[in-house]
Amino acid sequence: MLSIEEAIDKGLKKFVNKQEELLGVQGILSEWKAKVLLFVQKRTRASFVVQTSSDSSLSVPLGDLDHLKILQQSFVITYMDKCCNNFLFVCKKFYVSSVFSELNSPVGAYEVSNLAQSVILKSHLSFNKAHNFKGVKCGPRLLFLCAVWKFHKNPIKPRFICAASSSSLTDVSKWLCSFFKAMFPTVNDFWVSKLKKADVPCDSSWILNDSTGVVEVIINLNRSRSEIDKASPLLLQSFDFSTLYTKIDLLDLKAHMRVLINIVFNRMLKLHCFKFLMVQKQL
Amino acid sequence: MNFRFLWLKNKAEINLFENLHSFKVAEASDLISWLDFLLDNLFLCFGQGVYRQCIGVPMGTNCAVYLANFYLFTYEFDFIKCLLKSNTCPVVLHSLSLVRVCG
Repeated sequence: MLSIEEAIDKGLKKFVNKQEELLGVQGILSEWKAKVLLFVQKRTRASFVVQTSSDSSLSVPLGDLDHLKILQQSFVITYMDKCCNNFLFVCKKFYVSSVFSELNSPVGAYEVSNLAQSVILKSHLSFNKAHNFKGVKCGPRLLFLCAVWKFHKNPIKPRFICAASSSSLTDVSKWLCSFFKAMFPTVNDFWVSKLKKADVPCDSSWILNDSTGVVEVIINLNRSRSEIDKASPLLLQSFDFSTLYTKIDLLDLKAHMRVLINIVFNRMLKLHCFKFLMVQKQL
Repeated sequence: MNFRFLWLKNKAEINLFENLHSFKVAEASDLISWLDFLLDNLFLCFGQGVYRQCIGVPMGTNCAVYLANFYLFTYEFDFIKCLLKSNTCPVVLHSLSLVRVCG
């Protein structure tokens, strides 16, 4: 179990390494990182008694913990969507009724299961064991549905998140994520080679790893415009899905992923005689 | 070892590496069976109740972004193939090649 400072240090290290790798310059963010850590130290040491403990809860002075427990009798402590440093204290009855209305919504995304938690967890554990996946240290558990609130919308509405951290299948999902990430360059190649056949200039597929990739796209876009084109302003538009993850048909997803995985592996076999993919687990 | 992933010709090549606990090797059938199990077991609890998510993937699961991107990619890719087949492509494809999505 890490202290707040250690956890922030770890997160910052990861962020700084990624950014420096992207920029191709080492050490450019070290001063910034040191200043952030100093600021964090001042804040945490002033307001918390931070101790390392064996369980996942943060050790706070007893008086504060008592007050939080009293508050939790009537309120659910959650956070604001897109602004997770702001905590919300939501009336417990309202929170429960909001989550139940999502679970029983006419869309039918969730169905009541007849299986007991212990039976499901047992099957997950045996799957993990059979395929060499790690279990969870602090006892396996299922996913749980939680709600955060969107204060940037009018009217304010909840956003439901299926929390998958430290669940019985988290390790499976993490490894799959690493494998999909490794498949991505080959998927990209399909796109590029397909467009090249049609004589369309293209250097990558439309999927970006993160929002920092937008900068590269804009640079390429500007580069591709002729001097005459550049005389007129370019309209940059962005679109968003109102619902994506919660609308994907699982059978269709499975069928499409099966095809894509086979295409990727067959291509690597055909081009380089590669049959196996070895990946490093993401932290 | 400083790499995130590596394609191998056979499993015996794994023995060349140390610290194997932080690496995993799979072939296509492994990934398909792991993914099928994950998607068939989207059980969640709330209070004492146990539910199964039968439409959509949980937003909080690690591989959800890749699943959504790859899922849309397969549709987009089929669409592009159709355009190429029907020879309607150049103008449309020039516009599409400038579109980017991030999860």
